Amino acid sequence: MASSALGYVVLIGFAFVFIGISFAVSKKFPSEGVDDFVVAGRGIPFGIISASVMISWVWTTTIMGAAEAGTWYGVSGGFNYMWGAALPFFFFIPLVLHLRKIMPKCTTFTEFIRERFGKTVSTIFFVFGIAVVLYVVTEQGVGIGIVFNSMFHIPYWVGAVIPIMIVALYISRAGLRGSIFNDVIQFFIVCIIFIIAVPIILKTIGLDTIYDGLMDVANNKNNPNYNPEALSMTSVAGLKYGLIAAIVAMGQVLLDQGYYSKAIATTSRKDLMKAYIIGTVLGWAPVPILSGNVFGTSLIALGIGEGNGVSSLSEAAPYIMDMVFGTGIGSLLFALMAFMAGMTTGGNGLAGAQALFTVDFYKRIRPQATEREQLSFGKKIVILIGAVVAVVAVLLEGVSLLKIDIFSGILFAAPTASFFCGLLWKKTSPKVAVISMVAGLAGGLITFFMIEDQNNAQFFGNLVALVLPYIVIFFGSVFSKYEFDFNKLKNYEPAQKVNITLEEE
Amino acid sequence: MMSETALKIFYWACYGWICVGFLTIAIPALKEIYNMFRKR
Repeated sequence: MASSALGYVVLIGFAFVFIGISFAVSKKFPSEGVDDFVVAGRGIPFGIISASVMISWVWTTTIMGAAEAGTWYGVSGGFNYMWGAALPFFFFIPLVLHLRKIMPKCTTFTEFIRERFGKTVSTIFFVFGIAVVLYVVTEQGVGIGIVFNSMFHIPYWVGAVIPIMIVALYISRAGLRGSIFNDVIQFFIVCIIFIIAVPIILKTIGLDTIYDGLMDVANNKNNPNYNPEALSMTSVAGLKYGLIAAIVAMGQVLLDQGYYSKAIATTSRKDLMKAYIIGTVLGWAPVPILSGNVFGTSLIALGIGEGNGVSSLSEAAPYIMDMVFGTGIGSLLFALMAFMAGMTTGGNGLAGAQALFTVDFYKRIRPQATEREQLSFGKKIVILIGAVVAVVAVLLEGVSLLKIDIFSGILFAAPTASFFCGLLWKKTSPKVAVISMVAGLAGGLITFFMIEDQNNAQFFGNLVALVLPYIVIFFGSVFSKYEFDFNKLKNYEPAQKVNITLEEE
Repeated sequence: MMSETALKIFYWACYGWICVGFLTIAIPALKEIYNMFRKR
Protein backbone atom coordinates (compact mmCIF):
# COMPACT_ATOMS: atom_id res chain seq x y z
CA MET A 1 0.00 0.00 0.00
CA ALA A 2 1.42 3.42 -0.95
CA SER A 3 1.48 6.39 1.40
CA SER A 4 -1.68 8.40 1.95
CA ALA A 5 0.20 11.57 1.04
CA LEU A 6 0.62 10.35 -2.55
CA GLY A 7 -3.12 9.71 -2.79
CA TYR A 8 -3.95 13.18 -1.49
CA VAL A 9 -1.49 14.70 -3.98
CA VAL A 10 -3.33 12.95 -6.82
CA LEU A 11 -6.78 14.04 -5.61
CA ILE A 12 -5.92 17.63 -4.82
CA GLY A 13 -3.43 18.06 -7.65
CA PHE A 14 -5.93 16.96 -10.27
CA ALA A 15 -8.67 19.01 -8.64
CA PHE A 16 -6.61 22.11 -9.41
CA VAL A 17 -5.74 20.89 -12.91
CA PHE A 18 -9.27 20.03 -14.07
CA ILE A 19 -11.06 22.91 -12.44
CA GLY A 20 -8.32 25.18 -13.78
CA ILE A 21 -8.88 23.80 -17.28
CA SER A 22 -12.62 24.43 -16.99
CA PHE A 23 -11.92 28.08 -16.11
CA ALA A 24 -9.53 28.38 -19.07
CA VAL A 25 -12.03 26.77 -21.47
CA SER A 26 -14.91 28.95 -20.30
CA LYS A 27 -12.72 32.03 -20.75
CA LYS A 28 -11.37 30.99 -24.19
CA PHE A 29 -14.77 29.82 -25.44
CA PRO A 30 -17.32 31.95 -23.57
CA SER A 31 -20.80 30.49 -23.67
CA GLU A 32 -23.05 32.05 -26.32
CA GLY A 33 -26.30 30.69 -24.97
CA VAL A 34 -27.97 27.49 -23.78
CA ASP A 35 -27.25 25.54 -26.96
CA ASP A 36 -23.58 26.50 -26.89
CA PHE A 37 -23.33 25.51 -23.19
CA VAL A 38 -25.12 22.14 -23.23
CA VAL A 39 -24.13 20.84 -26.68
CA ALA A 40 -21.01 22.95 -27.33
CA GLY A 41 -22.68 24.82 -30.18
CA ARG A 42 -22.95 21.63 -32.30
CA GLY A 43 -19.50 22.24 -33.74
CA ILE A 44 -17.08 19.68 -32.23
CA PRO A 45 -15.13 17.68 -34.86
CA PHE A 46 -14.88 13.90 -34.92
CA GLY A 47 -11.45 13.28 -33.36
CA ILE A 48 -12.24 15.19 -30.19
CA ILE A 49 -15.69 13.58 -29.87
CA SER A 50 -14.15 10.17 -30.53
CA ALA A 51 -11.64 10.62 -27.69
CA SER A 52 -14.41 11.89 -25.43
CA VAL A 53 -16.78 9.00 -26.27
CA MET A 54 -14.02 6.43 -25.81
CA ILE A 55 -12.90 7.65 -22.40
CA SER A 56 -16.43 8.33 -21.08
CA TRP A 57 -17.33 4.72 -21.82
CA VAL A 58 -14.26 3.59 -19.82
CA TRP A 59 -15.80 3.30 -16.37
CA THR A 60 -14.00 2.20 -13.24
CA THR A 61 -16.02 -1.00 -13.89
CA THR A 62 -14.47 -1.32 -17.36
CA ILE A 63 -11.10 -1.86 -15.69
CA MET A 64 -11.99 -3.37 -12.31
CA GLY A 65 -15.22 -5.10 -13.32
CA ALA A 66 -13.73 -6.59 -16.50
CA ALA A 67 -10.75 -7.76 -14.42
CA GLU A 68 -13.21 -9.38 -11.99
CA ALA A 69 -14.96 -11.02 -14.96
CA GLY A 70 -11.55 -12.40 -15.99
CA THR A 71 -11.17 -14.02 -12.57
CA TRP A 72 -14.66 -15.58 -12.76
CA TYR A 73 -14.68 -16.76 -16.40
CA GLY A 74 -11.04 -16.91 -17.46
CA VAL A 75 -9.99 -15.74 -20.97
CA SER A 76 -13.59 -15.18 -22.11
CA GLY A 77 -14.46 -12.83 -19.20
CA GLY A 78 -12.99 -9.63 -20.63
CA PHE A 79 -14.14 -10.51 -24.15
CA ASN A 80 -17.73 -11.13 -23.04
CA TYR A 81 -17.72 -7.91 -21.01
CA MET A 82 -16.53 -6.10 -24.16
CA TRP A 83 -19.14 -7.28 -26.65
CA GLY A 84 -21.90 -7.02 -24.08
CA ALA A 85 -21.09 -3.42 -23.19
CA ALA A 86 -20.35 -2.38 -26.81
CA LEU A 87 -23.51 -3.87 -28.35
CA PRO A 88 -25.87 -1.08 -27.17
CA PHE A 89 -23.77 1.48 -29.04
CA PHE A 90 -24.71 -0.31 -32.26
CA PHE A 91 -28.34 0.40 -31.41
CA PHE A 92 -27.53 3.91 -30.21
CA ILE A 93 -25.60 5.04 -33.31
CA PRO A 94 -28.36 4.48 -35.92
CA LEU A 95 -30.93 5.69 -33.39
CA VAL A 96 -29.23 9.05 -32.85
CA LEU A 97 -28.38 9.43 -36.55
CA HIS A 98 -32.06 8.95 -37.31
CA LEU A 99 -33.06 11.37 -34.52
CA ARG A 100 -30.76 14.07 -35.88
CA LYS A 101 -32.29 13.56 -39.33
CA ILE A 102 -35.98 13.67 -38.35
CA MET A 103 -35.67 16.28 -35.56
CA PRO A 104 -32.59 18.37 -36.39
CA LYS A 105 -33.03 20.94 -33.62
CA CYS A 106 -33.52 18.37 -30.86
CA THR A 107 -31.14 18.70 -27.91
CA THR A 108 -32.34 16.18 -25.32
CA PHE A 109 -33.94 12.77 -25.89
CA THR A 110 -36.79 13.87 -23.59
CA GLU A 111 -37.61 16.67 -26.07
CA PHE A 112 -38.16 13.99 -28.71
CA ILE A 113 -40.26 11.91 -26.29
CA ARG A 114 -42.39 14.96 -25.43
CA GLU A 115 -43.08 15.73 -29.09
CA ARG A 116 -43.64 12.06 -29.91
CA PHE A 117 -45.60 10.75 -26.92
CA GLY A 118 -46.63 13.81 -24.91
CA LYS A 119 -45.74 15.32 -21.53
CA THR A 120 -46.62 12.34 -19.31
CA VAL A 121 -44.35 9.88 -21.09
CA SER A 122 -41.68 12.57 -21.35
CA THR A 123 -41.79 13.02 -17.56
CA ILE A 124 -41.34 9.26 -17.08
CA PHE A 125 -38.31 9.29 -19.38
CA PHE A 126 -36.94 12.37 -17.62
CA VAL A 127 -37.09 10.50 -14.31
CA PHE A 128 -35.34 7.49 -15.85
CA GLY A 129 -32.75 9.77 -17.47
CA ILE A 130 -31.91 11.37 -14.13
CA ALA A 131 -31.95 7.96 -12.40
CA VAL A 132 -29.37 6.65 -14.90
CA VAL A 133 -27.15 9.67 -14.22
CA LEU A 134 -27.46 9.25 -10.45
CA TYR A 135 -26.69 5.56 -10.74
CA VAL A 136 -23.76 5.90 -13.17
CA VAL A 137 -22.06 8.80 -11.38
CA THR A 138 -22.59 7.17 -7.96
CA GLU A 139 -20.96 3.98 -9.22
CA GLN A 140 -17.91 5.94 -10.37
CA GLY A 141 -17.62 7.54 -6.94
CA VAL A 142 -17.88 4.11 -5.30
CA GLY A 143 -15.18 2.73 -7.61
CA ILE A 144 -12.75 5.59 -6.99
CA GLY A 145 -13.45 5.42 -3.23
CA ILE A 146 -12.55 1.71 -3.21
CA VAL A 147 -9.39 2.30 -5.23
CA PHE A 148 -8.05 5.16 -3.08
CA ASN A 149 -8.91 3.31 0.11
CA SER A 150 -7.14 0.10 -0.93
CA MET A 151 -4.16 1.76 -2.63
CA PHE A 152 -3.44 4.73 -0.37
CA HIS A 153 -5.37 3.96 2.81
CA ILE A 154 -7.32 7.20 2.32
CA PRO A 155 -10.78 7.08 3.98
CA TYR A 156 -13.28 5.67 1.48
CA TRP A 157 -15.57 8.71 1.78
CA VAL A 158 -12.77 11.12 0.79
CA GLY A 159 -11.96 9.10 -2.35
CA ALA A 160 -15.65 8.93 -3.24
CA VAL A 161 -16.63 12.55 -2.57
CA ILE A 162 -13.72 14.63 -3.90
CA PRO A 163 -13.73 13.33 -7.53
CA ILE A 164 -17.51 13.71 -7.79
CA MET A 165 -17.34 17.31 -6.59
CA ILE A 166 -14.39 18.09 -8.93
CA VAL A 167 -16.49 16.89 -11.86
CA ALA A 168 -19.58 18.76 -10.70
CA LEU A 169 -17.56 21.98 -10.41
CA TYR A 170 -15.99 21.79 -13.85
CA ILE A 171 -19.24 20.83 -15.58
CA SER A 172 -21.01 23.65 -13.77
CA ARG A 173 -18.34 26.10 -14.93
CA ALA A 174 -17.73 25.06 -18.54
CA GLY A 175 -20.64 22.84 -19.60
CA LEU A 176 -20.22 20.14 -22.24
CA ARG A 177 -17.25 21.85 -23.88
CA GLY A 178 -15.34 21.78 -20.58
CA SER A 179 -16.31 18.14 -20.09
CA ILE A 180 -15.08 17.23 -23.58
CA PHE A 181 -11.74 19.04 -23.20
CA ASN A 182 -11.08 17.35 -19.88
CA ASP A 183 -12.06 14.03 -21.50
CA VAL A 184 -9.44 14.46 -24.23
CA ILE A 185 -6.67 15.08 -21.68
CA GLN A 186 -7.73 12.06 -19.65
CA PHE A 187 -7.99 9.96 -22.82
CA PHE A 188 -4.28 10.58 -23.43
CA ILE A 189 -3.27 9.84 -19.83
CA VAL A 190 -5.29 6.61 -19.50
CA CYS A 191 -4.27 5.25 -22.92
CA ILE A 192 -0.60 6.02 -22.40
CA ILE A 193 -0.61 4.31 -18.99
CA PHE A 194 -2.33 1.26 -20.49
CA ILE A 195 -0.04 1.09 -23.51
CA ILE A 196 3.09 1.31 -21.33
CA ALA A 197 1.86 -0.90 -18.48
CA VAL A 198 0.46 -3.90 -20.41
CA PRO A 199 3.70 -5.17 -22.03
CA ILE A 200 5.61 -4.61 -18.79
CA ILE A 201 3.05 -6.66 -16.85
CA LEU A 202 3.06 -9.47 -19.43
CA LYS A 203 6.87 -9.53 -19.53
CA THR A 204 7.19 -9.49 -15.72
CA ILE A 205 4.64 -12.23 -15.03
CA GLY A 206 5.43 -14.11 -18.24
CA LEU A 207 2.87 -15.44 -20.70
CA ASP A 208 4.23 -18.95 -20.09
CA THR A 209 3.48 -18.56 -16.38
CA ILE A 210 0.00 -17.23 -17.12
CA TYR A 211 -0.73 -20.11 -19.49
CA ASP A 212 0.60 -22.78 -17.11
CA GLY A 213 -1.40 -21.22 -14.28
CA LEU A 214 -4.59 -21.18 -16.34
CA MET A 215 -4.04 -24.82 -17.33
CA ASP A 216 -3.92 -25.66 -13.62
CA VAL A 217 -7.06 -23.59 -12.97
CA ALA A 218 -8.83 -25.49 -15.80
CA ASN A 219 -7.67 -29.00 -14.91
CA ASN A 220 -6.85 -29.18 -11.21
CA LYS A 221 -9.95 -29.59 -9.04
CA ASN A 222 -7.93 -28.67 -5.95
CA ASN A 223 -7.04 -25.28 -7.41
CA PRO A 224 -8.88 -22.61 -5.33
CA ASN A 225 -9.89 -20.92 -8.63
CA TYR A 226 -10.86 -24.17 -10.37
CA ASN A 227 -12.81 -23.45 -13.57
CA PRO A 228 -12.76 -25.99 -16.43
CA GLU A 229 -13.65 -23.21 -18.92
CA ALA A 230 -10.82 -20.89 -17.87
CA LEU A 231 -9.06 -21.32 -21.23
CA SER A 232 -12.20 -21.45 -23.36
CA MET A 233 -13.52 -18.50 -25.36
CA THR A 234 -16.85 -20.31 -25.71
CA SER A 235 -17.61 -20.57 -22.00
CA VAL A 236 -21.41 -20.77 -21.56
CA ALA A 237 -21.26 -18.91 -18.25
CA GLY A 238 -19.17 -16.20 -19.94
CA LEU A 239 -21.66 -15.93 -22.80
CA LYS A 240 -24.57 -15.49 -20.38
CA TYR A 241 -22.54 -12.84 -18.58
CA GLY A 242 -21.98 -11.03 -21.91
CA LEU A 243 -25.70 -11.07 -22.60
CA ILE A 244 -26.43 -9.62 -19.16
CA ALA A 245 -23.74 -6.99 -19.81
CA ALA A 246 -25.53 -6.08 -23.08
CA ILE A 247 -28.90 -5.74 -21.39
CA VAL A 248 -27.45 -3.77 -18.46
CA ALA A 249 -25.61 -1.44 -20.83
CA MET A 250 -28.63 -0.96 -23.11
CA GLY A 251 -30.47 1.30 -20.68
CA GLN A 252 -27.26 2.96 -19.54
CA VAL A 253 -26.51 4.08 -23.11
CA LEU A 254 -30.00 4.74 -24.50
CA LEU A 255 -31.16 6.70 -21.44
CA ASP A 256 -27.92 8.65 -20.83
CA GLN A 257 -28.35 12.18 -22.13
CA GLY A 258 -24.56 12.66 -22.02
CA TYR A 259 -24.13 10.42 -25.09
CA TYR A 260 -26.91 12.26 -26.93
CA SER A 261 -25.30 15.59 -26.03
CA LYS A 262 -21.98 14.46 -27.49
CA ALA A 263 -23.69 13.04 -30.58
CA ILE A 264 -25.55 16.32 -31.10
CA ALA A 265 -22.35 18.31 -30.41
CA THR A 266 -20.67 16.66 -33.41
CA THR A 267 -20.33 18.84 -36.51
CA SER A 268 -22.29 16.55 -38.82
CA ARG A 269 -24.03 13.16 -38.95
CA LYS A 270 -21.05 11.76 -40.85
CA ASP A 271 -18.66 12.90 -38.11
CA LEU A 272 -21.02 11.48 -35.49
CA MET A 273 -20.96 8.02 -37.06
CA LYS A 274 -17.17 8.07 -37.48
CA ALA A 275 -16.59 9.32 -33.94
CA TYR A 276 -18.81 6.78 -32.23
CA ILE A 277 -17.69 3.77 -34.28
CA ILE A 278 -13.99 4.57 -33.96
CA GLY A 279 -14.33 5.60 -30.32
CA THR A 280 -16.15 2.38 -29.38
CA VAL A 281 -14.67 -0.28 -31.68
CA LEU A 282 -11.08 0.85 -32.07
CA GLY A 283 -10.60 2.85 -28.89
CA TRP A 284 -12.74 1.39 -26.11
CA ALA A 285 -13.18 -2.31 -27.05
CA PRO A 286 -9.62 -3.54 -26.31
CA VAL A 287 -9.65 -1.96 -22.83
CA PRO A 288 -11.97 -4.47 -21.10
CA ILE A 289 -10.47 -7.40 -22.99
CA LEU A 290 -6.99 -6.44 -21.80
CA SER A 291 -8.25 -5.67 -18.28
CA GLY A 292 -9.97 -9.05 -18.10
CA ASN A 293 -6.91 -10.91 -19.27
CA VAL A 294 -3.87 -8.95 -18.13
CA PHE A 295 -5.32 -8.32 -14.64
CA GLY A 296 -8.02 -10.94 -14.13
CA THR A 297 -6.62 -14.13 -15.62
CA SER A 298 -3.11 -13.27 -14.40
CA LEU A 299 -4.46 -13.16 -10.84
CA ILE A 300 -6.06 -16.61 -10.97
CA ALA A 301 -3.12 -18.05 -12.89
CA LEU A 302 -0.87 -16.98 -10.00
CA GLY A 303 -3.07 -18.92 -7.57
CA ILE A 304 -4.52 -15.82 -5.91
CA GLY A 305 -8.20 -15.64 -5.08
CA GLU A 306 -10.77 -14.30 -2.68
CA GLY A 307 -9.47 -14.78 0.86
CA ASN A 308 -6.16 -15.95 -0.52
CA GLY A 309 -4.16 -12.83 -1.37
CA VAL A 310 -7.07 -10.47 -2.01
CA SER A 311 -10.17 -9.85 0.09
CA SER A 312 -12.35 -9.34 -3.00
CA LEU A 313 -11.87 -10.19 -6.69
CA SER A 314 -12.60 -6.50 -7.48
CA GLU A 315 -9.02 -5.94 -6.33
CA ALA A 316 -7.52 -7.98 -9.21
CA ALA A 317 -6.33 -4.92 -11.18
CA PRO A 318 -4.74 -2.96 -8.29
CA TYR A 319 -3.13 -6.16 -6.95
CA ILE A 320 -1.39 -6.92 -10.26
CA MET A 321 -0.28 -3.29 -10.70
CA ASP A 322 1.20 -3.25 -7.18
CA MET A 323 2.90 -6.59 -7.72
CA VAL A 324 4.55 -5.58 -11.00
CA PHE A 325 5.38 -1.92 -10.42
CA GLY A 326 5.90 -1.86 -6.68
CA THR A 327 3.58 -0.33 -4.16
CA GLY A 328 4.32 3.35 -4.89
CA ILE A 329 4.34 3.55 -8.69
CA GLY A 330 1.91 0.67 -9.21
CA SER A 331 -0.64 2.26 -6.90
CA LEU A 332 -0.17 5.65 -8.51
CA LEU A 333 -0.60 4.39 -12.08
CA PHE A 334 -3.63 2.30 -11.25
CA ALA A 335 -5.20 5.06 -9.19
CA LEU A 336 -4.69 7.52 -12.05
CA MET A 337 -6.45 5.18 -14.49
CA ALA A 338 -9.36 4.50 -12.18
CA PHE A 339 -9.64 8.15 -11.12
CA MET A 340 -9.75 9.38 -14.72
CA ALA A 341 -12.05 6.62 -15.89
CA GLY A 342 -14.47 7.55 -13.12
CA MET A 343 -14.20 11.29 -13.67
CA THR A 344 -14.82 11.17 -17.42
CA THR A 345 -17.81 8.88 -17.04
CA GLY A 346 -19.12 11.03 -14.20
CA GLY A 347 -18.58 14.13 -16.34
CA ASN A 348 -20.56 12.59 -19.19
CA GLY A 349 -23.42 11.81 -16.83
CA LEU A 350 -23.47 15.21 -15.15
CA ALA A 351 -23.23 17.07 -18.49
CA GLY A 352 -26.25 15.05 -19.61
CA ALA A 353 -28.16 15.87 -16.41
CA GLN A 354 -27.28 19.52 -16.88
CA ALA A 355 -28.80 19.42 -20.39
CA LEU A 356 -31.96 17.68 -19.15
CA PHE A 357 -32.54 20.16 -16.35
CA THR A 358 -31.55 23.27 -18.32
CA VAL A 359 -33.39 22.54 -21.58
CA ASP A 360 -36.28 20.40 -20.40
CA PHE A 361 -37.07 20.73 -16.70
CA TYR A 362 -36.52 24.45 -16.12
CA LYS A 363 -38.57 25.51 -19.14
CA ARG A 364 -41.48 23.39 -17.91
CA ILE A 365 -41.57 25.03 -14.50
CA ARG A 366 -40.69 28.53 -15.80
CA PRO A 367 -41.78 28.80 -19.46
CA GLN A 368 -40.92 32.52 -19.58
CA ALA A 369 -37.34 32.00 -18.36
CA THR A 370 -34.63 33.67 -20.44
CA GLU A 371 -31.60 31.73 -21.67
CA ARG A 372 -29.48 33.52 -19.07
CA GLU A 373 -31.77 32.27 -16.29
CA GLN A 374 -31.73 28.76 -17.75
CA LEU A 375 -27.91 28.78 -17.80
CA SER A 376 -27.72 30.02 -14.22
CA PHE A 377 -30.09 27.24 -13.12
CA GLY A 378 -28.13 24.63 -15.10
CA LYS A 379 -24.88 25.61 -13.40
CA LYS A 380 -26.39 25.39 -9.89
CA ILE A 381 -28.32 22.14 -10.38
CA VAL A 382 -25.17 20.25 -11.37
CA ILE A 383 -23.56 21.15 -8.03
CA LEU A 384 -26.68 19.94 -6.19
CA ILE A 385 -26.76 16.65 -8.14
CA GLY A 386 -23.04 16.18 -7.44
CA ALA A 387 -23.65 16.64 -3.71
CA VAL A 388 -26.54 14.11 -3.70
CA VAL A 389 -24.46 11.57 -5.62
CA ALA A 390 -21.52 12.05 -3.23
CA VAL A 391 -23.74 11.27 -0.22
CA VAL A 392 -25.18 8.15 -1.87
CA ALA A 393 -21.70 6.95 -2.87
CA VAL A 394 -20.58 7.24 0.77
CA LEU A 395 -23.58 5.19 1.91
CA LEU A 396 -22.76 2.42 -0.60
CA GLU A 397 -19.41 1.54 0.96
CA GLY A 398 -18.82 -2.22 0.82
CA VAL A 399 -21.31 -3.06 -1.94
CA SER A 400 -20.01 -5.02 -4.98
CA LEU A 401 -19.73 -2.94 -8.18
CA LEU A 402 -20.75 -5.77 -10.51
CA LYS A 403 -23.77 -6.68 -8.42
CA ILE A 404 -25.02 -3.05 -8.55
CA ASP A 405 -24.54 -3.11 -12.32
CA ILE A 406 -26.47 -6.31 -12.95
CA PHE A 407 -29.56 -5.35 -10.87
CA SER A 408 -29.77 -1.93 -12.56
CA GLY A 409 -30.17 -3.71 -15.92
CA ILE A 410 -33.70 -4.71 -15.00
CA LEU A 411 -34.66 -1.16 -14.05
CA PHE A 412 -33.18 0.65 -17.05
CA ALA A 413 -33.84 -1.91 -19.80
CA ALA A 414 -37.63 -1.64 -19.48
CA PRO A 415 -38.11 1.82 -21.15
CA THR A 416 -35.73 1.24 -24.06
CA ALA A 417 -38.26 -0.58 -26.26
CA SER A 418 -40.75 2.31 -26.20
CA PHE A 419 -37.99 4.76 -27.07
CA PHE A 420 -36.66 2.61 -29.89
CA CYS A 421 -40.10 1.81 -31.32
CA GLY A 422 -41.28 5.37 -30.80
CA LEU A 423 -38.45 6.60 -32.99
CA LEU A 424 -38.90 4.05 -35.77
CA TRP A 425 -42.56 2.94 -35.80
CA LYS A 426 -45.41 5.40 -36.31
CA LYS A 427 -47.99 3.01 -34.79
CA THR A 428 -46.56 3.06 -31.24
CA SER A 429 -48.97 5.09 -29.14
CA PRO A 430 -48.25 6.83 -25.81
CA LYS A 431 -50.58 4.42 -23.96
CA VAL A 432 -48.82 1.34 -25.34
CA ALA A 433 -45.43 2.92 -24.55
CA VAL A 434 -46.35 3.32 -20.87
CA ILE A 435 -47.89 -0.16 -20.61
CA SER A 436 -44.76 -1.70 -22.14
CA MET A 437 -42.53 0.03 -19.58
CA VAL A 438 -44.66 -1.12 -16.65
CA ALA A 439 -44.79 -4.67 -18.06
CA GLY A 440 -41.02 -4.78 -18.57
CA LEU A 441 -40.25 -3.49 -15.08
CA ALA A 442 -42.80 -5.72 -13.35
CA GLY A 443 -41.92 -8.77 -15.43
CA GLY A 444 -38.19 -8.31 -14.87
CA LEU A 445 -38.50 -7.82 -11.11
CA ILE A 446 -40.96 -10.69 -10.64
CA THR A 447 -38.69 -13.00 -12.64
CA PHE A 448 -35.64 -11.86 -10.65
CA PHE A 449 -37.24 -12.50 -7.24
CA MET A 450 -38.95 -15.75 -8.23
CA ILE A 451 -35.85 -17.60 -9.40
CA GLU A 452 -33.75 -18.98 -6.56
CA ASP A 453 -30.43 -19.37 -8.33
CA GLN A 454 -28.81 -15.90 -8.29
CA ASN A 455 -27.07 -16.24 -11.67
CA ASN A 456 -30.24 -17.37 -13.43
CA ALA A 457 -32.30 -14.75 -11.59
CA GLN A 458 -30.07 -11.98 -12.95
CA PHE A 459 -29.98 -13.43 -16.44
CA PHE A 460 -33.69 -14.06 -16.88
CA GLY A 461 -34.74 -10.97 -14.94
CA ASN A 462 -32.70 -8.77 -17.28
CA LEU A 463 -33.87 -10.63 -20.38
CA VAL A 464 -37.56 -10.29 -19.48
CA ALA A 465 -37.15 -6.57 -18.65
CA LEU A 466 -35.64 -5.95 -22.08
CA VAL A 467 -37.69 -8.23 -24.34
CA LEU A 468 -41.19 -8.22 -22.82
CA PRO A 469 -41.80 -4.51 -23.68
CA TYR A 470 -41.11 -5.23 -27.38
CA ILE A 471 -43.74 -7.98 -27.32
CA VAL A 472 -46.24 -5.69 -25.59
CA ILE A 473 -45.56 -2.89 -28.10
CA PHE A 474 -45.93 -5.23 -31.07
CA PHE A 475 -49.27 -6.71 -30.00
CA GLY A 476 -50.50 -3.36 -28.67
CA SER A 477 -49.71 -1.50 -31.88
CA VAL A 478 -50.01 -3.81 -34.86
CA PHE A 479 -53.82 -3.69 -35.02
CA SER A 480 -54.12 -0.16 -33.68
CA LYS A 481 -55.35 2.71 -35.86
CA TYR A 482 -52.98 5.14 -34.16
CA GLU A 483 -50.35 6.71 -36.42
CA PHE A 484 -47.84 9.45 -35.65
CA ASP A 485 -46.74 11.90 -38.33
CA PHE A 486 -42.93 12.09 -38.04
CA ASN A 487 -42.82 15.04 -40.46
CA LYS A 488 -44.01 17.26 -37.60
CA LEU A 489 -40.63 16.83 -35.90
CA LYS A 490 -38.64 18.35 -38.77
CA ASN A 491 -40.01 21.80 -37.97
CA TYR A 492 -39.59 21.52 -34.21
CA GLU A 493 -38.31 24.78 -32.75
CA PRO A 494 -36.86 24.60 -29.23
CA ALA A 495 -37.22 27.46 -26.76
CA GLN A 496 -33.50 28.27 -26.90
CA LYS A 497 -31.73 29.59 -30.00
CA VAL A 498 -30.25 26.79 -32.12
CA ASN A 499 -28.13 27.55 -35.18
CA ILE A 500 -27.89 24.70 -37.63
CA THR A 501 -27.98 24.40 -41.39
CA LEU A 502 -30.64 21.82 -42.16
CA GLU A 503 -28.94 20.76 -45.42
CA GLU A 504 -25.97 19.51 -43.38
CA GLU A 505 -28.23 16.91 -41.80
CA MET B 1 -9.25 -25.07 -24.80
CA MET B 2 -6.84 -22.38 -26.05
CA SER B 3 -3.29 -23.39 -26.87
CA GLU B 4 -0.35 -21.39 -25.51
CA THR B 5 0.37 -19.96 -28.97
CA ALA B 6 -3.26 -18.91 -29.41
CA LEU B 7 -3.23 -17.21 -26.00
CA LYS B 8 -0.07 -15.28 -26.86
CA ILE B 9 -1.49 -14.20 -30.25
CA PHE B 10 -4.76 -13.17 -28.54
CA TYR B 11 -2.99 -11.04 -25.91
CA TRP B 12 -0.67 -9.29 -28.35
CA ALA B 13 -3.40 -8.77 -30.95
CA CYS B 14 -5.48 -6.98 -28.30
CA TYR B 15 -2.47 -4.88 -27.39
CA GLY B 16 -1.93 -3.97 -31.05
CA TRP B 17 -5.64 -3.14 -31.23
CA ILE B 18 -5.43 -0.57 -28.43
CA CYS B 19 -2.32 1.00 -29.96
CA VAL B 20 -4.02 1.39 -33.36
CA GLY B 21 -7.17 2.73 -31.70
CA PHE B 22 -5.20 5.26 -29.68
CA LEU B 23 -3.36 6.61 -32.74
CA THR B 24 -6.50 6.69 -34.90
CA ILE B 25 -8.16 8.93 -32.33
CA ALA B 26 -5.18 10.86 -30.93
CA ILE B 27 -3.75 12.23 -34.18
CA PRO B 28 -6.98 13.82 -35.49
CA ALA B 29 -7.89 15.02 -31.98
CA LEU B 30 -4.56 16.84 -31.57
CA LYS B 31 -4.90 18.45 -35.02
CA GLU B 32 -8.44 19.58 -34.25
CA ILE B 33 -7.50 21.07 -30.85
CA TYR B 34 -4.62 22.96 -32.46
CA ASN B 35 -6.96 24.33 -35.16
CA MET B 36 -9.62 25.30 -32.59
CA PHE B 37 -7.17 27.28 -30.49
CA ARG B 38 -5.56 28.85 -33.55
CA LYS B 39 -8.91 30.06 -34.91
CA ARG B 40 -10.17 31.73 -31.70
